[in-house]
Amino acid sequence: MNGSVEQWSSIYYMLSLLAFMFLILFNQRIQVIMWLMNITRVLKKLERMVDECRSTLINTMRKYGCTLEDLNYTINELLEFYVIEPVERDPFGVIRRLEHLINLQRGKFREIVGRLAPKADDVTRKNIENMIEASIAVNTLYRIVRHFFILGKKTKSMLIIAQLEMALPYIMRFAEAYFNAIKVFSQGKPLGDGIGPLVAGKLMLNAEKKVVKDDTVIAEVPFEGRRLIVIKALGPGGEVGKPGKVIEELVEENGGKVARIIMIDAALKLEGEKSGDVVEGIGAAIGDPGPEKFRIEEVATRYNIPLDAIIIKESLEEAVGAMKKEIAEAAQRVVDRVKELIRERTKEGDIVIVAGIGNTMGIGQ
Amino acid sequence: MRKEALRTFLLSALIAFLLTFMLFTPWEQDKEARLFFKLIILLLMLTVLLSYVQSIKQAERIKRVELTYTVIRCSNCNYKLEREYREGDFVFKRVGICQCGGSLYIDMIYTIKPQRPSKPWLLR
Repeated sequence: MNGSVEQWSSIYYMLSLLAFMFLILFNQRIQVIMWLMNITRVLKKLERMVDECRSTLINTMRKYGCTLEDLNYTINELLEFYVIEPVERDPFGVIRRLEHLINLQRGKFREIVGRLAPKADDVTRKNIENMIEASIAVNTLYRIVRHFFILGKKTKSMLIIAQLEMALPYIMRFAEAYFNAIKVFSQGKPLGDGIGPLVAGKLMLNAEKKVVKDDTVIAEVPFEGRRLIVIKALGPGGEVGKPGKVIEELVEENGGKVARIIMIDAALKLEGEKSGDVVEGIGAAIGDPGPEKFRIEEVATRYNIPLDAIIIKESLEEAVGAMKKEIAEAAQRVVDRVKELIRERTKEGDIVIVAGIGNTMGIGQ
Repeated sequence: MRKEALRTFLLSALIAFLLTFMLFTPWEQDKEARLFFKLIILLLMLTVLLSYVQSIKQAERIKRVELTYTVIRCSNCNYKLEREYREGDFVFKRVGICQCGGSLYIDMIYTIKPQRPSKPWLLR
């Protein structure tokens, strides 16, 4: 009996020694395999997301009269669309060149949507453009993850695989935010980013509106002896307009005699901060790639006009997702804040420009 | 969801079988074998628990569907109506005339996500 127990003990000892040696020698390899397994799982999820984006776009195009037989191929090409950024080695005129490229991109999307969804009205076309942009974002993230995954496997580089695995939660946060946004875009509901236009719309509610260039609308609102010029993008289609260009022209029109420029926009909150919190600061509150912000800063500096910024804190998911109750309810608080600011810092007879910045999807005027 | 439930059921059945097998077998002579069986049962129980946690998390994800509401107000009086969002609704859309003669417009469209149900301590 004792002999049998000793025999078993020796086998267990040998086995545990072997297991120990195996772990010592192959621990890094095991770790890499586990990372690769996790990346594969995420990659499959991203692939499913891209497939769903593609089928949503195809269904939407078909719904609005697309008769193309090779629509799948056209959508695949569209998902790979890219813009080459202007050269920055010679920074002279870089903003002008960037604006030109943004205009070209916008024109290209309009032309494509017009061709692929001929029966869609203007509002729906703009929403489809937003859907395309979000789909391109999801597809780009998928392609980047796939690139580094394959590269890591090919080169057997632990560094590439580890970096990719550690960045995955952040990448997936972006991917899921844009993926969920596509459904909201297809329904045309207001986005969290639409808080700026919502506030501007509230300010210009009963005033006469005028559509100016590039899908931007303005209204002159008398307020306690002051002349408010309120600006927002033309809704309810998914549009951001060209507030920079319009502000620049309005200031020039008034010979630079503008007392203040107040900008309202959604801003990304830091973790731990509360959504819907309203914060005041100075500067051009606009999250565009550059041209609009540049124009506003330029004209404000040229005529020495104070720039006030009111931001509403949101997470990325909230900004590109459907507007949440706490954010929608913040709109009235912002309106009151703007009025208070105008009373405190301007006098009767002054001209004040108030710009509601953001995507005006689901928000009219 | 069905796959998860089936997996949990099969694992539970296997544990039950092993426990019964262990109870009705004379193990007094072979302590190592008994230890080995106990270890297997422990691992299986852990798998069942993880499977159960996963199925609960998945069910939660499915249940938490977003709801969108439209708030209608009168431009003249304090009339306010809240209803479910309908396709074609947009903020500041004129939707009719109020009893007071003022125009009714959509003041707000917002989405709410139902709160997560409180989790058992094991899942927190």
